[in-house]
Amino acid sequence: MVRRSIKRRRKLQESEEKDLTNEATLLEQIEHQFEGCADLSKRFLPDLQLHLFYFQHLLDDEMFQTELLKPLYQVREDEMLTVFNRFTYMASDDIHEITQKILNGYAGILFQDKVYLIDLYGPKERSIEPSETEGTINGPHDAFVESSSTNLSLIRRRLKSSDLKALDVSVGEVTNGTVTLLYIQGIANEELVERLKTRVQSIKIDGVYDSHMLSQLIEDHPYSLFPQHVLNEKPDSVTAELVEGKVAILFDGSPSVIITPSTFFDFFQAGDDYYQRWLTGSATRLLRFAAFLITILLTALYVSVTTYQYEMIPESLLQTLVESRSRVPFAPIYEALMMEITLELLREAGARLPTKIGQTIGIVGGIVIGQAAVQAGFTSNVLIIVVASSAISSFVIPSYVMSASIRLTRFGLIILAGILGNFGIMVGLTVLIIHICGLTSAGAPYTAPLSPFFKKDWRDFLIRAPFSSMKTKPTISKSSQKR
Amino acid sequence: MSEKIAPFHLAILIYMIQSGVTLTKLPRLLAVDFGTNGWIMVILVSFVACCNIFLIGLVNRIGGGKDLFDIMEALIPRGVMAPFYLLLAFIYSVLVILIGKDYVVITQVLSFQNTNAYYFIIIMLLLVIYLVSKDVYTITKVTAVFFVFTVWMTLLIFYHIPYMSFTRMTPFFLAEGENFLLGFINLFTAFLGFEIVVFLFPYIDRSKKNWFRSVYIGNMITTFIYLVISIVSYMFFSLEQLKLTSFPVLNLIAFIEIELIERIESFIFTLFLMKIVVSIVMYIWVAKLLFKRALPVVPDKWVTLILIFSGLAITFNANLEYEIGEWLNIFGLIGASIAIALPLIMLTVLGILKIRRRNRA
Amino acid sequence: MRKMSCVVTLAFILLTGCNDQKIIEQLGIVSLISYDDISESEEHKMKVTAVIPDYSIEATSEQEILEAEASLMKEAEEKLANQTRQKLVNGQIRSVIFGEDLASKGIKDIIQAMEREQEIGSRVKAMVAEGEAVAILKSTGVENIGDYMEKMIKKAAEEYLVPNSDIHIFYRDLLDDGIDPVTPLIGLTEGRANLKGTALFKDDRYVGSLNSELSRIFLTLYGKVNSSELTVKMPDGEHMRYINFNYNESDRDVKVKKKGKDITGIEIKIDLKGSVLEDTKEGVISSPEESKKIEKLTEDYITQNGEKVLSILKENRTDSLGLKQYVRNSLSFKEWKALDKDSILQTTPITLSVDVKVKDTGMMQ
Repeated sequence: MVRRSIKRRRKLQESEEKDLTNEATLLEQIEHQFEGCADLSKRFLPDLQLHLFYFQHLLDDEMFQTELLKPLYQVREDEMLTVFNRFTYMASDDIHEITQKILNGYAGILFQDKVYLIDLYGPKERSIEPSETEGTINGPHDAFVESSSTNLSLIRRRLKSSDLKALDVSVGEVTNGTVTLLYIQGIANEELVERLKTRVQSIKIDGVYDSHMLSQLIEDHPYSLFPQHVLNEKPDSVTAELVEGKVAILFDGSPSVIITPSTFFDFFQAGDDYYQRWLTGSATRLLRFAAFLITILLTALYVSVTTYQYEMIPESLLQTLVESRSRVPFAPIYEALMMEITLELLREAGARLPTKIGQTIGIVGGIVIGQAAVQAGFTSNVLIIVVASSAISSFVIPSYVMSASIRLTRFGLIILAGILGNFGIMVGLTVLIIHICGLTSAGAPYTAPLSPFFKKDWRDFLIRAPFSSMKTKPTISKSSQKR
Repeated sequence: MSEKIAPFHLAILIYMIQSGVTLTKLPRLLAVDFGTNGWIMVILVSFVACCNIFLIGLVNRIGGGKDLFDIMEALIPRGVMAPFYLLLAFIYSVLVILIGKDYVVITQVLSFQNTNAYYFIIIMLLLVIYLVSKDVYTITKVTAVFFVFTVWMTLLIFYHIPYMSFTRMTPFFLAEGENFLLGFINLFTAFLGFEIVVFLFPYIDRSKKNWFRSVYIGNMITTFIYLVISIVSYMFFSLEQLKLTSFPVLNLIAFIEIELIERIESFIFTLFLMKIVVSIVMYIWVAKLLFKRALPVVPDKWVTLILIFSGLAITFNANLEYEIGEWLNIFGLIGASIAIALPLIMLTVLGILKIRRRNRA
Repeated sequence: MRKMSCVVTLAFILLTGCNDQKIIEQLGIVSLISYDDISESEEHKMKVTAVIPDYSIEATSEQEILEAEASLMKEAEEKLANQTRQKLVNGQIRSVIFGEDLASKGIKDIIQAMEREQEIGSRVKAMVAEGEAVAILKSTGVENIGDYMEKMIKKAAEEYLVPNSDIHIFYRDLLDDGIDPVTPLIGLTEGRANLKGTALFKDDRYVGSLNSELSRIFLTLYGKVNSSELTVKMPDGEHMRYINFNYNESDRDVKVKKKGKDITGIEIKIDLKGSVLEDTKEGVISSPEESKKIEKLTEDYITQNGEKVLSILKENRTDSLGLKQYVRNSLSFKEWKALDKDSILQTTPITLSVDVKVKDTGMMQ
C-alpha cells in the first residue's frame, strides 16, 4: 500500500511540476521521502554542486572515506562525470529505487539531473562467536551472526563452487526483509526451489523478524504442534545439508538458517555425530532417540503404574514406591503435573533471567523445591527422579524448538495416563503418530525414512554409518543428482 | 494426493489388517478345534489364503489394474450395483465394529472391569475417524509406524525358550479336535484382510512390475507370526490347559518377569490398539468408497459417521463376550465368503466382457 | 468441524471419569496367601490367611495377617477385605501355601481360580506345608514373611533344591495326561520356615513327599539341571567316604523300549559332568584311577537313591517325572487312548543308567 501511494504521488508531482528542473524535483523528492528521518546525513558540496545522502550508521567508515570522499575531493567539477561512469556507481533517476538503495546502505550523490549510487554497506555487527544454542565439542565452533552477508561468506568459504546459487526475495510489507534461498544447482531439486520462492513471495504480513518466524510462515502445516523445518546456527551443518541437496533459507537479521525439507528425525541429529567415530556417533544418536522416548513416556508410565497397573511393579521396587508415595496427599496425576509444571517454571525462569541471577534458580529449584517438597511429604522421591530424568532427556534433543514441542506433548500423555492408564498412553501415542505421519515438510514426508520406508537413508537415521557407505543423497531432497 | 503406495508398505498394510485381536486367541482356537499339533493348520489355511490372493492377482493381471468399480460397471450399470455396494459397505462396517468391541471386551477384562465399554469404543472410534479422514497414502505411512511399534512383541518369545518342550507337543496329528470345519473357517477369518487390495489397485505404485508379490509377502508375515506364536504356545502350555486358556498369548506375555518390570500383558495389549485401529480404518475406508460410489451426493465427512453409527446401531445388542463371539462367527463367515466371491465374480465379469469384445470384433 | 471434534473429544475424555483406579499407597497388597482345610465344621470350608506387608513410613509393624473362613477363594477375599481399611488386591501375590490336609483333598479349584483371575499372575509360587499352612505364616523371626518365602523358594529352585513351582507350571502338568505336578514342601524347624523337600501330587491331590536329599536326585531325574551339588556318601573299603560333587551340566534322556506294540521297559539316562570340591579321602584325588573311582561311586550313589525315588513314586502311583509323556510320544493316538495309563508305570520296569564325568578337582590335585 505504501509503495503504491508513493508511486501515485510521484506521478502527481511529475505532472504538476513539469516546468521545474529535474534536479530540483529529485532533490525535493528525496527530501520529501526522508522527511523526519533525522538520522539521514545530508551534505552539500558547493564547489562541486553535489548533494550527498546516506545513513552514516549503515556505511562502512573506511569505505566511505576511501571510495567516496577521497575521489570527490580530488576531482574537479568537469571530471565528475568520468568518475561517476566508473562501474562502482550506478545512475538512477527513479526515486523509488533511490530510496530503496539508500535504505540498503548506499550513498546517493545528486549531481546535475541524476543520482549516482554507490554501495558502501557495512553496518556494525556482532563478531562471529561460538553458538549459544547449539554447542559442539568437536568440529568448527563458528556460528552464524545476524548479518546475511557474513553468513553467506561463512558458507561460501566452505563450499567453493559456482553451483552454489543464492536467490534474493524480500518479505514483509513494512519491514522489507531480505530472504536468501541457497541451493546447489545440479544437486538440489529446482522445482522445490521454485516452490519455496513463490511461497516466500506470497507471504502477506507486515513484518518478519526472525527466521523462526519465517519458518512458521512457510510451513505446510502451520497449526501443527511440531516444527517442520530444522533451524541451524552452524555453517558446517548447513553446508552439509546443502550438499545433500536441501535448500537453506537465510534471513537477514537472524543467526538461524532454515533447512528444508526436514524430517522429524533430522531434529535429533547434531554435527558432532559426524565428527565422532561412526560407532560413537551412532551410539550418541541412539541415545537421543532413547531420550525422546523417556521424555514423553517416563512420567506418564509412572502415573499409569501407580494409579492403575500396580501389578507391573516388580517386588524389589514395590517397597520403594509405596514407601515414597505413602505420605503424599495427592493422587499421582496431580503430583506429577505439579512437579512437571514446577520444572517448566524453573526452566522458563532460567531462560529469562540473566546468567548471574540464573544460578540462584538452580539452588532454589534443586535444594528448596526438590528436597523440601519430599521432606514435607508433598511429592515422592521416586517422582522427583522420574521428572528430573525426563527433563534432562528432553534437553538432550539438539533442537530447542523440537524439545519444547515434545515437552508439551508429554503433558498430554501424563493427563491421559492419569485418566485411562496404559490405555490412555496408547491412545495418546496413536494420536501422536497419526498426526506426525500426516505432516509434510516442503512437500516431503515428515517421517521419512521410517515411513515411507527409504532403505538407503537408514544409513544416516538411527545410526550414523561410516562415510564410505553414505554415498547417496537423502530421498526426501529429491535430488536431481543420481548417485 | 499424487503419492502412491509402495510395495513395501502394501505388504505391511496387508499384515496389519490381517492380524488383530484374533492373534491373542489363536492358539486356543487351534487347540479346541484341531487338537494336537493344530499349528500345522496355520500353514494349510495360509495356503488357502494364498490361493485366494492368487485369484485377486488374476483379476489384477486380466483387468489391467482396474478396480472393482470400473470392472463391474463396464457390464452392469451403476444404478443396479448401488444397492450391492451399500450392502457391502454396511457388512464391512458391522464387521469392524465387532472387531473393535471384541478388543474392548478384553481390555475391560484385563484392567478396566468397572468402566463402561462404550467409553472405550467411542475413544477408539474417534481415533478411527481421525485416521480415516486422512488420505490412503497417509494411512499406509501411519500403518508402517504402527508396525514398528507392534512387531517387536514377537521377539518376546525368546524369553519362553527355556520353558518350552517338544515332549509336550505330542506326535499326534490333529487328534482330539472338536470341530474341524468351524476351526477351518475361524482360522481363515483370522487371515482376512487381503481382499482389501481389490479396492487399492488405483492407489498403488505400479512402477515395480511385480508389486503384487507384496500381498503374498504380507500374508507370509502374518503366517509366520501366527505360526511362531502357535508353535510356542503348543510347547509352552499343555494341550488341555491351552484349551482352557482364553487368551494364551496374553498368558505368555504375563509370564515374562525381568528385574525392571513384570506382568506387562496389560501394557502390551494396549499396543494392539494400533493394530485394531488399522484394521478398522482400512475396512471403513473401503466401506466409504463403496458408499460414495453408491450415493455420491452424501458429503464426505458424513459418510464415515453414517457408516460408524449404523455399525454401532446394528451391533447394539452384541455386548457380552459370547454375543460378540457369535456375531463375529457369522460376520466372519460372511467376510470370508466375500473375500472368495469378489475375485470370482470379477473374473466372471472380465470373462464376459472379453467374450463380448471378441464377438463385437 | 475439525476444531469442534477436537474439543468434543477432549471434553469427553476428561469429563467422564474412570472408576478403576488402584492408587498404589491406598492398596492392601497381598503378598502371600495360604489355604487350610477346616471341613470338619462344614463341607468344603477353608481357612484363608493373607499376609499384607505394610510399607508406609508410619507403619508400626511390617506386616498384617488377616484370616477368614470361606468356601471359595473370592468369598474369602471379601471377608478379608472387611477387616482392613485398605483395598485388598491380588496383583502382587507371590506365593501360595496349601496346608497338608487341603492339599491331599485336591487343590484344582483354587489353582484354577487363581489362573482365572486376571490380576493374579501365572508365576505365583505354589507350595505345600507340613501340617497347617497358617503356622508358616505366623512363624517367628521373619519380618516380612511374604517376601521371605518367595525369595527362599526362588533361590532354592535356582539351585535345584526343589522343583520350580509357578502355578502356571503346576496347572500345565496337572492338565497334561503324561505328567503329575510337584511342588516344594515346607515346614517348621524350631519355629522357622524351612525347606523340607518335594511334595508329590497324584492329579491335584498331595500323596507323598521326598526329603531334601532325595529331592536333589529327583531333580536330576526330572530334567536338565544347570548347576547343583551332591553330597555323595558311599562306603569305600572299610570307611565311609564323603564326596562333594558339584555338577554344572546334567542332562536327562528317557527311552521307551518296545517290542512290537508292547512296552517292555523305560530307561532313564542321566549324564552329569562336574567337579569334586571336597573329599574325605586323603591324598591326591586327581589321578585317572582316582577320578574313575569317584565317578563310579557317584554313579552308584545316584543309582541307589534314584531307585529309592522311583520306588516312592511307584508306591504313590504317581508319575511326577513325566515318563508317561515319553510313553505317549512313542505310541499312536489310538494306542495311547486304549492304554491303561494308571498301571502302565506300575508294571513296566524302569531302569536307570547314570554316567558321571569328573571335570576337575578344584584348585588342588
